[in-house]
Amino acid sequence: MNSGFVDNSVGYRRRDTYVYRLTVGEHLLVALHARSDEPLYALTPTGAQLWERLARWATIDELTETLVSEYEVATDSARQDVREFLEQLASLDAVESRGATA
Amino acid sequence: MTILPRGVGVATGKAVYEGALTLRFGQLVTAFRAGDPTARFSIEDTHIPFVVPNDTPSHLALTCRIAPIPRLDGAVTFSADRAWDLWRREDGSEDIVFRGGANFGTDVWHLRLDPSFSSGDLREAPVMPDGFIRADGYPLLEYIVARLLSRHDGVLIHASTAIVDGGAFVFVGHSGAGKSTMAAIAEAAGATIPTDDRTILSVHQGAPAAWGTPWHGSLIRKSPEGAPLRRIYLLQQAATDRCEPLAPARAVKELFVRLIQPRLHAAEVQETLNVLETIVRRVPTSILHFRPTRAAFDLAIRRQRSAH
Repeated sequence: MNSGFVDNSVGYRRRDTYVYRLTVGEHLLVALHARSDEPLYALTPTGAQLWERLARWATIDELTETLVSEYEVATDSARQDVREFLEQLASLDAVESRGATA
Repeated sequence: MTILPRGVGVATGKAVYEGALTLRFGQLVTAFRAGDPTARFSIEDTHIPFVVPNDTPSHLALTCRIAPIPRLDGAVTFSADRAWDLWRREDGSEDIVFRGGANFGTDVWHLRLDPSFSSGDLREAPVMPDGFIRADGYPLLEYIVARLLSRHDGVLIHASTAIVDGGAFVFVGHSGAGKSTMAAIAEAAGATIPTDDRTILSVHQGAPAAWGTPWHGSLIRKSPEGAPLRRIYLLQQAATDRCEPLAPARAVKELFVRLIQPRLHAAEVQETLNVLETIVRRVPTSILHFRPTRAAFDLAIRRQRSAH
C-alpha cells in the first residue's frame, strides 16, 4: 500500500492541467479539458493546503511538515495523509515526480 | 442579404451576406469580415434574429476566407475526440481545426485567435459547392461563443429559459432532462421562451441575466431576448412536484458540470467560477422535482412571486 510514495528522495509538484479555486467555501479542483472525464473534484482544507505547497517541488517530509506546522497532528499520521493525497493526485495524473525511486 | 427559400438548393432557409456579417449573443458581438473581395457568408434562418448592424462594436473580429486548411505544426494541446483539435501557442494564441463529414474525416474550419481573443482569422475549406462561409457552422459558432463568454462575464449552459413578468426562469439539465418539455409548458402558460436548449447566463455590473441562443431543442425556440435572472432550477423528473433549495457550493458544482466548453483555459475556468459564484449568491437555485404538467411550472413561478 502506498508503495510508490515512501521514498523521501522523490520530489513532487502539481501539474498545470488542473485549476484550484476556493468557491463559496468549497475547495475545488477543476480538470482542464481532456485531462479527466470528471471535471470537478472537492479538496479538504488540508488537501488544498498541500495543493498550494505543491506549486513548488516538495518531498513527502516537506509536505508532512506543512501539515504538522499548521495542525495539531502527529507526524506519522500527517505523513500517511500526505501519501494518500499524493496517491489520489497521481491517479488523476495531477502531480509529477522527480528523483530516484529505488 | 439574400433569402433563399427552403428546398431550393439548401436543406433549410438560409440568409446570405456579402462581405460582412455581425452576430450578437447575449451582450457579446462577433464580427465576420471578408478576407477577400468575393467572400460571402451564410447562416441558417434560425440565426437571423441574432444579426446586428455591421457598425456594432465587436468583442471579436474575424477575417474570413475560403481556402484549404493548412497542416499545423506542434503538439496538440486538447482534442475533442475527432471533432476538433486545439493548439495553444507560447504567446497565448490558439489554432483550432474543426472537422466534419463522414467520421469527422474532413478538416472544415481553421480558426486562429490572437492571445486577447479580440481578433482572429477564420478559414473554411472549399468543401461546399455554394462557396459560402458558414458563419453558423456547428460546432464552430457555439465554440466561439462559449469561449468568448468565458472571457466576458458569461457562460453557455444546457438550459431552457422562460421569461415571465420581465424576469427569466432558467431550467437546467442535460439531454433528456425535460428542458423543452418545461419550455412548452411555460409557453402554454403565457411565458416567452427565448431558448429551449442553450441559455447564456451573464453578469453585467453585478446583475445576473439570461439570454436566448439559436441552438434549440425539440420545441425549436430561439431568440436573442434576455431578461434579469430570477431563479434557476435543475430539472429532475419525479412522481411529485417539489423544490429542493441548493446550497451555493453545490449549486456552483451542479451548474459547472452543465456548461459548454468551460475547461479549455485556466484563466477561463477562474472567470467562469467567478460568474457562477456571483449568480448563485444572488439568484436562488433549486432542484425542481417535477412531473411534466402545468402544476410544476406554477410551483416554480409561485415560489418567485411569494418571495416578493
